[in-house]
Amino acid sequence: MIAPLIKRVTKGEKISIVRKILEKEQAKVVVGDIVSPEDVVGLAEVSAGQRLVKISSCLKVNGKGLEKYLTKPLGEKVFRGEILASRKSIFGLKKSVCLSPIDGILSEIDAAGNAVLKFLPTQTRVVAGVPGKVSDVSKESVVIEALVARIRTKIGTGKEREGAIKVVASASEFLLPVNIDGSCRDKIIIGGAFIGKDALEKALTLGVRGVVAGGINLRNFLSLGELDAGITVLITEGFGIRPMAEDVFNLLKEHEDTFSIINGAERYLTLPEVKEPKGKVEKEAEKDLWRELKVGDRVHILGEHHGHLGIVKEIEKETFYSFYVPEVMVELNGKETLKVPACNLEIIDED
Amino acid sequence: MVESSAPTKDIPKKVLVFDLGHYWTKAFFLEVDDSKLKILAKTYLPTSSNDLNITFTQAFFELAKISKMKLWQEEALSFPLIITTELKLPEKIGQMAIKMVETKEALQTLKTVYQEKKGKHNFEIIDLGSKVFDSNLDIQEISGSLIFPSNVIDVENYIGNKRLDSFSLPVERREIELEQAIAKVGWQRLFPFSKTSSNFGCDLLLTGAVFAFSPEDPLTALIVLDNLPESVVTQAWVDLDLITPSLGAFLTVYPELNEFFSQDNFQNDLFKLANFKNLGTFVSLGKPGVIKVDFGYAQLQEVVVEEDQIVLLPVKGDQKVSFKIPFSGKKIQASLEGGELGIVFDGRVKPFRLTSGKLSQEKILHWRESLKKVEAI
Repeated sequence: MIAPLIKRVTKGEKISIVRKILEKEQAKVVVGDIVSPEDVVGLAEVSAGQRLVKISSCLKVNGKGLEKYLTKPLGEKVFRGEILASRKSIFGLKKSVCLSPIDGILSEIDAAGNAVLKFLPTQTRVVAGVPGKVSDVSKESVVIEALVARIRTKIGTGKEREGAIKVVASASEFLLPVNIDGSCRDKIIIGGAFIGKDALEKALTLGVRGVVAGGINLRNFLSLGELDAGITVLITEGFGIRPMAEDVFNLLKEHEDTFSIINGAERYLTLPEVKEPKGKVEKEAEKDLWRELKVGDRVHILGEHHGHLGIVKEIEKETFYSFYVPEVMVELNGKETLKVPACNLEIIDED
Repeated sequence: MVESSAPTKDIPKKVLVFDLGHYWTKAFFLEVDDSKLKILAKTYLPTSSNDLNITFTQAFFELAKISKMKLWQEEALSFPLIITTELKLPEKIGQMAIKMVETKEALQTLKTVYQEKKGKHNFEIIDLGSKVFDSNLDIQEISGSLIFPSNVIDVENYIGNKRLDSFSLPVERREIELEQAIAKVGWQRLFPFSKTSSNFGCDLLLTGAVFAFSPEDPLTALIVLDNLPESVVTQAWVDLDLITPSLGAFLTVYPELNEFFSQDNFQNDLFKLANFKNLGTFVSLGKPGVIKVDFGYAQLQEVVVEEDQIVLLPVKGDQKVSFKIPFSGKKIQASLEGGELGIVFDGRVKPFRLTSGKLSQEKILHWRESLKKVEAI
C-alpha cells in the first residue's frame, strides 16, 4: 500500500532569502559578504497603512470623475489640514472643500468615491535576519543564501511576514486571549492545540505578525478569507482541537526568540539555522511524493488518532472492512501500539 | 464467472481497467474467454495525484502479485489499458497507450445498456465518491441525522479534515456514523430524486466507499429510504467492489460485450460478475397504509404500516411476492423481488427533516432496529 511521503520538518535546507530594500544605492552589503542575523543590509520604507476620505460625499458629487476636483495630483504628498479637493457651485458663489486628515500620499480615488491616503512611509533599517552569504544585490533587494529549517503545515493563510518566535502555550493547551499580550506585538506566536476567534482577533489587534497553532475551527479559518487579513496563520494539524505534533513543537521551542519568516499562502515557517547542521545539507525540498509503506517507517497518523507519531511495526494481511486496505500496527512512543488502516498514515520523510 | 456465447474477435482476451478517482484508484484485471467473463485480480490504492506514475506502478505490481502470472512483465504491456477518470492525464503512461473514458460516459453506458436489456426499466446509478465532501452540504441536516449529540462545528471540522486527508478511511464508529449522515445528505444534494409519472420499478445501483465499507446493511437501507419520496418502489443494489465505473468503461470501449448478457437474465449475469449485493426492494409509501400480500395461500395476508413505521418482510432475493400497494389513492398491483433485507415498507411521511436532539436520535435508532429484525430471521 502506498502512502504519502511528507516533509513536515526539514533541517539544513539551503535557500535564498530575499530582503527587500528601498534602492540599490542604499544597500549596505555587497555580493560575497558573510552576514549575521543582526547585520543591516539596507534601508526600506514602511507605510503604517492608509485612510479613506469620502470625497464624493464631502463635495456632494457622484463617484465618477472626481479627479477633476483634486487640488493635488495622484502620488503627491499631502499634509494634515491641507485642501485635498474643492468644488464650486451655484454659479461659483459657494465653495465646498475636503481637507486631508493626515500627513500622507494621495494614492488613488477608489470606485466608491473615496480618496485613498497612504500614511507617509518611514524609513527603516533592514536587517539580514539570517546568517548567510550575500549572493545578489539588485535594485530593490538583497539576496542571502542561508541554511534554514522549515516547518510545512496542513493549512495556512496570509502573506509572507517576519518576526521573532514567541512560544505562548504548550502543544496541547488551548491558545487563549489571555496568552496574548503586548509583548507579542510584531512577533510570531506559537503554541496550542486550538486557537479560537477571540484569540485571533486579539492577536490582530495587538499587532501580532503570525500565529502557528495545532487546530482551528473551519468556519474561523474561512472567515480569514482568501486575501490577507492582516495576520498570517499556520495550522499544523487540521480543523478542530488538534495538539501540535511533538517534532514540530520541539523545533519551534528550540528557535524561540529567533527571527523567522512565516508564509501562509505557501504554508511554511522558515527558521534560520544559527549553527551548521550536522550531516549533509539538503537541496531545496521537493514537493510531497508517495511510496510503498514499509516496516520501520516513521509515520504520522490521520483520522481519529490524528497527530500521533509512531513507528510501523507490522503490516498485516487482514484488511479493514471489505475495502482491501491492510491493517498496520504502529508503535507510539515506544510503548502503546495502535492498529490503523494503512491509508490513514503519512510517512515522515527523514534522513 | 458468466456463461455466455462466444465473443466477437474485436474483444481482447485480457484487459486492464483502472478507475482513477480523485482520491482512490480501483484497478481490475479482467479476462474475456470463449464462454467466460471474469475478474482475475483487483486492487485498491490511493491516487498519488501529483505523480500518477506511482499509483500506476503500484497497481500493476499488486495485480501481478494477485494474479500470479509468471509472464506478467512481458505480457502486461500487450493488454489494453482502459482508464476511466475525471482527472487530466498524460497521453501515455510509460509505454502503454491508453483508452480513455470519462467517468460520466462510463456510467451513462452502463445505464443505457441496463435500460435497453430490461426494457426501458428506470435505472439510476448513485455514485457517492469523493464529490460528496466537496459539495455544499446542509450541515444542520447532517447534524440532525446523527445518533449521538453533536454540533454543526464538529461536523464542519470533520468535513474540512476530510478534504485535507481525502484518502483516509473512517475507523471509529463515530466517524462511520458521520460519513453515513454526510452520504445521506450528499445524495439529496447530488442526486435529487426526479419523480416521473411512473416511479414503479426503479432500480438503484449504489456505488462509492460509503456503501462498500458500510458495516451494516440497515445503515445503507436507511439512507435509501430517507432519500426516496413518497409513492416510489425501488430495488437497490450495492457495488461491493467499486467496479461500476470500470464496468461501464469496459462496455463503452467494447460495446460487443453486450452480447454476453442475455436479455432474460441480464441483471443476474452482470450483477453476479460485478459482485453487486441485492439489498432488497424498498417501498416508500409516504404515509401509513395497509398492503395486501399474496404468499400463495388461499387468502390474502395484510401488512399494516403505521405512521413513522418501517416494516420488513423477509423475502429472499430469488423470490417474488405479489402485493396490492396503496399509491396516490389507488391500489397498484405489483410483483416484487426480495433481497438481503427482504421487502421494506416505509410509512414515514415524506419529506421529513430531522433536527438535532434526543428525540431524533431515538427515532433513527428505532428505525435501524426495525431494519435489523430481518437479519435475525
